[in-house]
Amino acid sequence: MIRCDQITDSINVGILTIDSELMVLYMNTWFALHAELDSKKVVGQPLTSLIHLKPEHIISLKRRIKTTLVLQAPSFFTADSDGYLFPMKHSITTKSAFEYMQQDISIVPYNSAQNQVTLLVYDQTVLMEEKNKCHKESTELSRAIAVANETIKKLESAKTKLVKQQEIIYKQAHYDSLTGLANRTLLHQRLQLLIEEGFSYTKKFGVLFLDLDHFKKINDTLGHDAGDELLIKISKILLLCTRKSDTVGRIGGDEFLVLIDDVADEETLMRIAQKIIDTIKEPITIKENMLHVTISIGMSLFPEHGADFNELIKNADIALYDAKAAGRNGYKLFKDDV
Amino acid sequence: MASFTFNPSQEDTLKELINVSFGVAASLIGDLLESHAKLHIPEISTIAIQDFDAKILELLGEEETFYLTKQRFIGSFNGEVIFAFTPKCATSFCNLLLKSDEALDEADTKSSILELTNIITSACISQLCEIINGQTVFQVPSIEKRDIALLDNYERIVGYDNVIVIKTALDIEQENILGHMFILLNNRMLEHLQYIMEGL
Amino acid sequence: MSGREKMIFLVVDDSKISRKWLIEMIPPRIAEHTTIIEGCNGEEAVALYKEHRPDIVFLDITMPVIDGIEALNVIKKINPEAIVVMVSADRQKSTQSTVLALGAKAVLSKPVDGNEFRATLLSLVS
Repeated sequence: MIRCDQITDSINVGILTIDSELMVLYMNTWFALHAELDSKKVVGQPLTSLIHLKPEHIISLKRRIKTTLVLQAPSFFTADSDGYLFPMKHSITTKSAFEYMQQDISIVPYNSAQNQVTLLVYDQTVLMEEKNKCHKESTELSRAIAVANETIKKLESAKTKLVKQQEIIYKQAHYDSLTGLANRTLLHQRLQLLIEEGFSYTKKFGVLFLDLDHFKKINDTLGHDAGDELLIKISKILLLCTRKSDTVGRIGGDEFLVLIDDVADEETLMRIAQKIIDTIKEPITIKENMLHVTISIGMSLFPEHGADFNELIKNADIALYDAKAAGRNGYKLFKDDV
Repeated sequence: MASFTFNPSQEDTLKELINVSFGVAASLIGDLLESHAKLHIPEISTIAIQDFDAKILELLGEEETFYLTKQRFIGSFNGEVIFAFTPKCATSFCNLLLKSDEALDEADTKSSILELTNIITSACISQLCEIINGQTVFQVPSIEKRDIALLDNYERIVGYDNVIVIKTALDIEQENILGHMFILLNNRMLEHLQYIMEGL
Repeated sequence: MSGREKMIFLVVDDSKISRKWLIEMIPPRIAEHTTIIEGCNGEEAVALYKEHRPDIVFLDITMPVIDGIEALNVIKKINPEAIVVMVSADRQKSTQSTVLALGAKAVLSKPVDGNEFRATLLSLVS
């Protein structure tokens, strides 16, 4: 013979049997202890006189009881959504977010003919505490992730700025700011490279030293703005007359240096020079003035006219002087007449 | 794994069984809300468990969040019932049930929906259980608010092979509350159910 | 009962299985003297009533096209003495009073209890 009351009075679950009018039929030890009642004195008493229940809880309790009786299946209160039904002290000794024990309550049929049900009360306070803690940690983690992401964005933005600055500095160091052509530094580098390649692969290349004729006069007559505009237009023409593998640079006021890579012979170089001269001779419009601009070119060829940077430049310069002396608007190739 | 389909006669039987159980549930809901309630099934279908997430997306894709309830039932007839509600429908039902002057919060909505789904689940599963001559015990239900955008992050459901998808509509007090009910069963349960229904 | 004309029953429900269950509950000694006609919606219910003038009509309430309540109304207009039994999953009191007021002889709640059905049937047949 099993003594059920022995079992029900020792388990860690609240057991309360009531009817649809909330009249108490049975209360186990656990429930009585937590409700601070005497389990022997509660039978036949209305629940509402024994425990303080919120009015809305009384309504929802009666609703759940009806559901259980009609469907002959359990109804529930959950700690997660309902918190607590019976105000009982919980067992957590440290500071808790909850004032009262959080409860999961199952309502099951007991004697349907008499409209009686049994309530089973489970203490879920510890679980709910853990859940809250996890939620809090999860929120903090999300926040930390958000901050980290923000920092990453800022770092990436800073990196992009630095890279841009790097590019600007490089450009300023290697290119002429007015015309966008290579400057002395870049020309020097390219020329060195051509010399090395010239030795390695036995190929010739040409150095063209160009000078705009009477540029000072144009500058003085039309003003510096016009002069600048002319230089820009000349730069574009020079780029058009050369290939991608060639280098066009500006080394001074109206002086240009063009490196022609992989030249077959002197004739080829002269053809290129002539092409430049012919193209520049075409009328150019600067600030509503139609100008006829001419150019003088001095040329040296590697390796015939020099095997290093200084020699090639010097000889191209000498050739340019000759071209000017010969009446300008033309080209001269360096001749070693000495 | 091929998904189960019911033949027309089995589907008719299943629909009728659920209809009857819904009649019981509607009657109770109407009683609790003191108003006439009608619970009907616009649609019923079966899908494989792998397609569950896709189905949720199909039915609720336009929402940002939705409520999901779960309740297991164990015994010789066992499985799980899941419900999905849009926040709008959930709040509507909560307002009807609690009829409070005070503003109703998230906890109230969750509590109301759990109550509703428990009623429908109990009625429906008990009815099926009776036909199948099985026994079942209902577990404590749970409810969560989920993000559609994070659907992939939630834990996968395991232990079931098939889902009976039932679109449920609760008409009460000029409100139309639409819920999506999913009965999750493993192959053995479903086969048994089919077998019994065939014999009816 | 020999020499007596066969009775006609009209069973209307959109669910085939539901009709089957109801028909199976008819006691054999009544069933063998009865012709049973089936319909699956309110519109058919009315049409079949006009055509066959059954002795008893069993009508489900929730049906497509025309529902049971509407069909009840029309049948009663055709023949105020028509014997109609409503069968429904909707067991709410408000529904019950509505159909009884419209002239239904009885309301049976689904799932239909065999004994309750037979008791109702016997009271109507005699």
